[in-house]
Amino acid sequence: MANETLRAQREQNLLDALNLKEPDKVPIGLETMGWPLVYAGTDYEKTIDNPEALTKAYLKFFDDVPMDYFALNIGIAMPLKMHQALGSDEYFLSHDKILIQHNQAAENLMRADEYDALIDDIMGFRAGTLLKRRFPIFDGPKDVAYEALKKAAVSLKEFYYTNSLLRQGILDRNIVPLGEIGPDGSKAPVFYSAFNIIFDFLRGIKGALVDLRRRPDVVREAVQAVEAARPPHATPPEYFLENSPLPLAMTIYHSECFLNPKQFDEFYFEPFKKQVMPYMECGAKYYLKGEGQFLSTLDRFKELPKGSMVFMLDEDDPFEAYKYIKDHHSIAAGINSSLLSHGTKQECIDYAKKCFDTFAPGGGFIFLPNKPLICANDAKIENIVAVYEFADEYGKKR
Amino acid sequence: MSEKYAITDLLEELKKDDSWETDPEVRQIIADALYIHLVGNI
Repeated sequence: MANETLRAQREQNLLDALNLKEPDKVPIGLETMGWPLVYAGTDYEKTIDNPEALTKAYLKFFDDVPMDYFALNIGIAMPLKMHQALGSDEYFLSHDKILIQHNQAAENLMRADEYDALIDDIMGFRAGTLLKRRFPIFDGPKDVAYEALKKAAVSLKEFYYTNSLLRQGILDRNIVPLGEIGPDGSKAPVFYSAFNIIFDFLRGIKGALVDLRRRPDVVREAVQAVEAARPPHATPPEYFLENSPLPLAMTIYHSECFLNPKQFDEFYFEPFKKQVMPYMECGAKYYLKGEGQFLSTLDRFKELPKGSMVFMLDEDDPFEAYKYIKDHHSIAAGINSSLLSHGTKQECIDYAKKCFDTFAPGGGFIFLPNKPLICANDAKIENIVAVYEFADEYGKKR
Repeated sequence: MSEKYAITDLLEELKKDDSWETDPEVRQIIADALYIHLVGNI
């Protein structure tokens, strides 16, 4: 049951850690999608049509295993049945029946010769040409498209209902969701680079990177057009600070590990600073969800206010990354995913202990696996239970 | 020849159509969310 005191203690521990002070207990957290269903001995295929059964199974893990915070979005990642209702195979349920996989290779994306059309009317292009290419049903008879859209709407409503049950279950267990403003669940500000829009949704990974090499000027023009069209975040800095017990905003690396230093500065770091500085000047912090290797980018963040960043690492060695982060920002690390899936319990505990012994003194450390649990085989159950029980005890101030 | 329409036309119809959802506020929320899922935002 909801316990405001426990929840407030957990928020305070997070705040202390991110303010580079030693908290009463190092917060332990998890980023996951469908993996908790594995813990309960079921999968998404078996539960997708029964939100209550899915929720009960999903939350068993959080009843059994200690947890202080939930990193990023709670619940199922993608409305699979919404896509299926529209005849799309952009997403499919993987063979493990847990991971909803993005099938970008099969996506019909923007072509290389369509940058002018995009720059001319970004949302018009996406809602017209690109939508019909991705979902051919919208290029056919209106009555057929409308019936499919209605089915998609029903599926999307059920998807949101399921995720609302999961989120409430997490809140009832006094687990702090990162990236939310207050109890209504509205989202904290997010910085997502304009180049990532092209990379993720328009040209795809291969197309965007080839364009950047062959036609940097047109990519630059498209990025500038996206940036110019963006409205300011609906939550102004002052409101965010006043209404968030944990004023933690979000940013994500997607394309960034593929960019050279000059491109990184141009497409990520400079626009990032422009957007986030008004928030950081008011005291907000940013959680960076890393993807890939990005050790070479960490030094830049020292120019930002002290204690304003927390880095979730992915492929990089956290002990090496810590040399750039120590005493200035915070690190979210503590257990390696390959150990969780292939190591022994003792190897997992030894690694976690080394992380606590290295990163916890002086604050600036929150416990988190280096990768989200998204596939059935991402962790052995006995390993994750052992390492979280260890972290929950060992992280207490002595 | 089939009638020309835009996704926004279909979503407007969806907001008025109580055959799939009786609560107008829910219809509005889901239709807006559909637009984000299908078209995206910036």
